[in-house]
Amino acid sequence: MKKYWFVTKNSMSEYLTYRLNFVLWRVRVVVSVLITFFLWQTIFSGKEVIFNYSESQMMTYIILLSFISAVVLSTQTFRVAEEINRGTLSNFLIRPISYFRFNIARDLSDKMINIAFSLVEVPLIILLFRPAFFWQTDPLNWLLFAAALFLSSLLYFEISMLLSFIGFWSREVWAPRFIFFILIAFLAGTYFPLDIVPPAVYSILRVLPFTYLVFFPLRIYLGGLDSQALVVGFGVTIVWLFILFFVMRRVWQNGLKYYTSEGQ
Amino acid sequence: MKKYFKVWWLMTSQSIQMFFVSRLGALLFLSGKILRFIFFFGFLLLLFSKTEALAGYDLNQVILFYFTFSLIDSATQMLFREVYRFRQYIVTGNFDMLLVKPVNPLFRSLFGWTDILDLITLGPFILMIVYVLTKIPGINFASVAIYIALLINSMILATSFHVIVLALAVMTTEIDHAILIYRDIVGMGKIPIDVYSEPLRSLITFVIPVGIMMAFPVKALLGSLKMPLIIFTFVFSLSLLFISIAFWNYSLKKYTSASS
Repeated sequence: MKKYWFVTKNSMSEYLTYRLNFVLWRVRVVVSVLITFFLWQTIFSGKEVIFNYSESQMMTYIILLSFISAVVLSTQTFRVAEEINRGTLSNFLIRPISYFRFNIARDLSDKMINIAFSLVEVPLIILLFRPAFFWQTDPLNWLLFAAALFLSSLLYFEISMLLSFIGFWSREVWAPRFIFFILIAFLAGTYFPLDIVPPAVYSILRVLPFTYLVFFPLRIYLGGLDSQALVVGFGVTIVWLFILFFVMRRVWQNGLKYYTSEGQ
Repeated sequence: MKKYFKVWWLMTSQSIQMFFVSRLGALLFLSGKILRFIFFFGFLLLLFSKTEALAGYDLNQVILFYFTFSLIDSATQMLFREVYRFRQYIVTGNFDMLLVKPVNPLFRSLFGWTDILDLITLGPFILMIVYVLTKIPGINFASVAIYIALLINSMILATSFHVIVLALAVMTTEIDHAILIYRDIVGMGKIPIDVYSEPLRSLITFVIPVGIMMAFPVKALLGSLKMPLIIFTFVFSLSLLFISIAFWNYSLKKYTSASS
């Protein structure tokens, strides 16, 4: 475990070397949250409930997006594709480490720094714009929220690793990721809560993994989900985790057979 | 002028050839752009299923804001895609090669790569704008003429922003996030800027002129922009262009040719 902790520490040092770059990245996250925040604030002017969401619930949903994206969506697994394409993956394969754990350790540093920043940003947004914010007081909801965040992070890790494994067969690794970012932006619930779409569309979204990256944890925080919805939500997340885990292992093994360390 | 057009055409031909080299990637990127456009459009339609107006604008007017934003954004990216690759020239020292060529380095740095994918989307955007215009009452020839003039003005503003980003890259070697922050902030213009509350609204109108760039053409078209403000807009944009070029010239004096 100790060696992976060093990976996390080294990765954090890398971030601290390029501080300006990182701060600018966080500025981008805040700007995108603010755009959505003001849009919904205007929609709620003069209305108490829209799409079954009160203003405080909707504003909380939008503001917490900054925190959720820090926990779930921050990753360095896109570097895997570069390492495959440049042949530098070989440097990791000959080391006495697990490449998957190495990537989890690298991701951990990403998440720790992003979470630290978001813990400053969220209160700042609340203080500056004084929105109606919903504070969850039920400890059980907090517990389930934390569990959902943990599972969502693992789910995102698996999806992102799979995307990077495209690098074994193609140099076109950024185009699929670009489409993935767009899918995440809309189908994971970073623009709006997913249950506001027509029921037929929502029933499709409920079986896709994207729903459980952002929307599901936030919905748990906001409360109001019955036990059946919770069981189904966690159940679908766990099923996707298993499916993607086996697919990821299989693609990795096949990819390694194809890998020629080209570029080294 | 003729020489520069010829150079631009040569560089554009090369970028089109590159498009055919990585066809699959280009196709995926194009699909992504279309998907993003459709998703946000669907989101606006969804919003209007629960509200009749957004900051006083009806559905067709809000759609016009979004389509106009998409047109300006695509035209800007089509012309200035090279700016996204500029940092590499600086950090590798290859910018020296641009400086010694008998072509203005600013011209080369701005227009060195034409994004064919964005060029493809321009035609449909224009057609969609024309269609929405037919749905909005009270549009006349004069307001359309002002709209087009303000669209050109938006391109001048976009050029100024990109020149400033290039100058920042020369001075700091940081550009990746600077250009992306520019894009995020400009993205605020997807919807009418009246949506944003003060002081943010004034900030994104006059300090970071997203409002002038994205919203003013539509506001003028809808008749909610007074003539003095329209004239001020042109003066503002031209002033910013001169300032950005002066900043670029200043940054060149600070260029150290590191790594070359």
